[in-house]
Amino acid sequence: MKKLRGLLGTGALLLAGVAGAQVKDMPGGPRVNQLNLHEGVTQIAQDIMWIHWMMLIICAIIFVGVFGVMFYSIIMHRKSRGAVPAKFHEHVGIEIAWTVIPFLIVIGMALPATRTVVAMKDTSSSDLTVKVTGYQWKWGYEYVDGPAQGVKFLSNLATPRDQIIGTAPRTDLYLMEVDKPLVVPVNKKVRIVLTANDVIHSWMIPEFGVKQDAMPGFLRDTWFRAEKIGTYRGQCAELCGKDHAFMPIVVDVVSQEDYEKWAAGEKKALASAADDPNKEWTKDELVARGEKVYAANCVACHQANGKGLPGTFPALDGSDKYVMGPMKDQILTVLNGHPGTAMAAFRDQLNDVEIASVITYTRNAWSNAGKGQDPIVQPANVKALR
Amino acid sequence: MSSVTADHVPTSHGHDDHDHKPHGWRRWLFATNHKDIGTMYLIFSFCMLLEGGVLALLLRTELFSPGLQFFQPELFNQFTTMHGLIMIFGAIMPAFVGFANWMIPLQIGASDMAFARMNNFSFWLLPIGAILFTVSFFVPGGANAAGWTMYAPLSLQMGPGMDFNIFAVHILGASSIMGAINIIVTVLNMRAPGMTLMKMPLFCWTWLITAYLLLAIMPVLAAAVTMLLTDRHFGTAFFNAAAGGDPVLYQHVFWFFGHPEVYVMILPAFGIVSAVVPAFSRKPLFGYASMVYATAAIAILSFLVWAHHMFATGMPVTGQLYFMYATMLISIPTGVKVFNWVATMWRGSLTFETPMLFAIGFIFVFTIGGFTGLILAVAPIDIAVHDTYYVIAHFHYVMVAGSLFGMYAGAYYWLPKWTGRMYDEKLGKWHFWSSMISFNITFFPMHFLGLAGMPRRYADYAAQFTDFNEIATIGAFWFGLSQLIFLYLAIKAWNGRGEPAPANPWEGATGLEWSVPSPAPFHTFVTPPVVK
Amino acid sequence: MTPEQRRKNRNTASALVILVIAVMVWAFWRGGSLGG
Repeated sequence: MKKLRGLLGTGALLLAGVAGAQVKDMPGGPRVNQLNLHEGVTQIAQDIMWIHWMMLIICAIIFVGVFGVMFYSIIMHRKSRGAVPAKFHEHVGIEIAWTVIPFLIVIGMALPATRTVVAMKDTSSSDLTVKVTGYQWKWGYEYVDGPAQGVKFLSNLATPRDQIIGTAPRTDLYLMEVDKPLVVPVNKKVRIVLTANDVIHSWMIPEFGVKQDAMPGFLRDTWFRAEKIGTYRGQCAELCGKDHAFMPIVVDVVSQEDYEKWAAGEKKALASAADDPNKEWTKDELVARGEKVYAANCVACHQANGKGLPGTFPALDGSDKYVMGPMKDQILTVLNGHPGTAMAAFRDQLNDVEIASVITYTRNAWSNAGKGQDPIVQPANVKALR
Repeated sequence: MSSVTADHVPTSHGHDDHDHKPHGWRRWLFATNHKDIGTMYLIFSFCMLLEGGVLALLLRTELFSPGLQFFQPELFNQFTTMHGLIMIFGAIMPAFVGFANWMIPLQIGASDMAFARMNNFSFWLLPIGAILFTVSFFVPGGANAAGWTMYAPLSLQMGPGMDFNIFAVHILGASSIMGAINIIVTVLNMRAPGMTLMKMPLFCWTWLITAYLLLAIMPVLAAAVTMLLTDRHFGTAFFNAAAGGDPVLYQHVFWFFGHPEVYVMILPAFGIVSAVVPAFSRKPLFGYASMVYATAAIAILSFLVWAHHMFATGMPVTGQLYFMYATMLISIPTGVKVFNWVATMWRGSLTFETPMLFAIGFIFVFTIGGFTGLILAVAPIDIAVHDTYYVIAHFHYVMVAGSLFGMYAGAYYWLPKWTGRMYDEKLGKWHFWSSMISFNITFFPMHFLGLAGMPRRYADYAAQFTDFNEIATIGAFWFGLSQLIFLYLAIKAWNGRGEPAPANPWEGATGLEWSVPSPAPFHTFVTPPVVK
Repeated sequence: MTPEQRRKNRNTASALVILVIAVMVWAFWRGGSLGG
């Protein structure tokens, strides 16, 4: 049994050696066989490094002291050396001393730590705020202010599956690369506002000295000021299900100029990917889109069959005034709601394409079947009435 | 083995007890004798140690190289979760109760525990809990994969295996509560005349305090997992923000249990080491009174520090600072204990039989774990290494090198009393050195992994972490195999092979347990001894 | 065990059980104020 284990172990080692080739330090991530914390590119990370060294040195001194005494005793006070046992079993003075002195040492340790705790928690006066959302199993980023305001995207692990199962060689960025990294300007205080969509996740970047849990249904915040341009990598640090190890974080720290260029590019791309309200849409396109919008926004009250709740939520199926009548009344209703009723204003929640398509859908669904006036409503019609 | 001695020491041979001693399976199923029940707890916990150990070896096998070779992450997470739950609730806690059952009545001169029948029930609940844990792997969805900490909302997503876990925890918790009541009443009410509390062996003190901790925390754990159960199945929303709840509530309730729980798992080891070190130094324990006060201080402080497990959840500044300071404070009484053990050894007359090797090994390696604990207490550092392998290194140092080595020290120390045979000393030393070296090979590199940022509960990792993971896996297999040495020699002694042991085989050992024959007769101290 | 020993044990145990129940009640009632 032992031999089999040995054989397996050696075989696995060889395999690992062959498959692993020569991995190098990960840029912005862990070094090969790294022993200590990351040096860090933020003041906070450097503070943490300093405090850790302080703790290590003090603990090492105490360790050497205590075990020096113990090993001396093991050697010199052995029975085989003829040691005769002493009889003492207490000494009030010494016992007080070795209570009070450690107490003072602990206070000394706590002082620099206090300063750093306060600094880590101070998210005020930030230059840029980014909202981060943890999902099972990816991160979402949304720029709340600054040149990239409104830019939002998801950031997924980019390492291909075959590297994970071992049929392709692993790169130095294995498991810590994404399709779309977070981009921030250097030397600016970035406030990260965190939440989660499902379970608890945690946003960690060792080079920044940052870690903050993302709680579903709540907002938390943290901050960093990266002082060096580069790409920095982290991982999810709270067990969140099966792909907990497969949702990394990548932050590109760039110059202010590059950041603004990137932001402008992103906004343009967002706009062009967005729905074009001036385009002529076909009836089928509108109805298909409208069905989705209806399911996500209207079904709760007006029901999937369009019959609503008699007395509370009006039926859209066979609604003569709004759905079978001229388009203007229905568009205005959807845009502005009915104040004093449960019908909300959707002008800020849905864009022109979404409103046009959901209205078109209601006009063609159920028994309405396109029989009323204006069976097709174009986004341009909605835009005109905003 | 039947030596009829002069009757100033009560033995089982002077009376009819032999005839009343039960035999066969009834002896064990209906056991009310503290020695038999202690034996069952110890055997059960060793089996759980092996089961939990296999789970660890499975996950370390997957972690030998980066990539997913053997197990899907869902299954891997079940291994890590159940390894933790089985080791804590199946191995460590029951083993210490086994020591308590065997040794407390002997050490205080009582004939048995206060509630012998409840004692039986406390034990037999354990296999039921263990079966629930084990069977949970085979239900649809598999075992709980949310970590031994079972944080909501992730634990709310788990399948029926989670419910099996919740029930197992309820059952094991009930067993612990009953055991704790038994121990407190026994220690407070049934000491032999003349044995004041401050004359009691420290092992009884540490267990007395541990028992109070258990009474305070197990109901809280029951509350936490019950809230998980009702959130999962009965429409409550304790931990669901959309309905007014809060996931952090779970963490507060859980860690209010969880932090004192780790002291439950170490204080009895402190007691064992406080017996073994004086015995093999041939010198009384240094500072007995301070040791009692330090233990009490640790226990009280342990209730005031729970949120140091939650530094990354988004606590306000004052919270971070308070919990940091309070946690750092616990290092003081803990340090005092270490100093006292070293002072006991100082200018003693030392020999290094296996119990002493494990006790000294305990002091050395537990102290390392204590230092990493102090480092973790410093909130800014914790932010960097929370949920990384640094934490795994820390708690394995204090729980394996701490609790487990402490238990081995006690097992070797008291095995002659339990079995009537001297265990094989050469094998014992092999067990010690093999465990000590392989333990450090396994867990020391994890400090580096954590500082470098490798997160915990990861089925796969960045390639730069490979070498230390390989080393840890090799060490883990070596460590696991080493425990079989102990199994072998314990069975050997149990089967009556080896030098017959005298009543007191250890030159420097003191205490009432050494005044009865080895093996300890079925009934001891039927009439209480008078202690001067 | 003598009857008074049994009585003493029973009383101590009852005190402890009350403590356990008190802790459970506390955990459910006051636990609600923790969190967030």
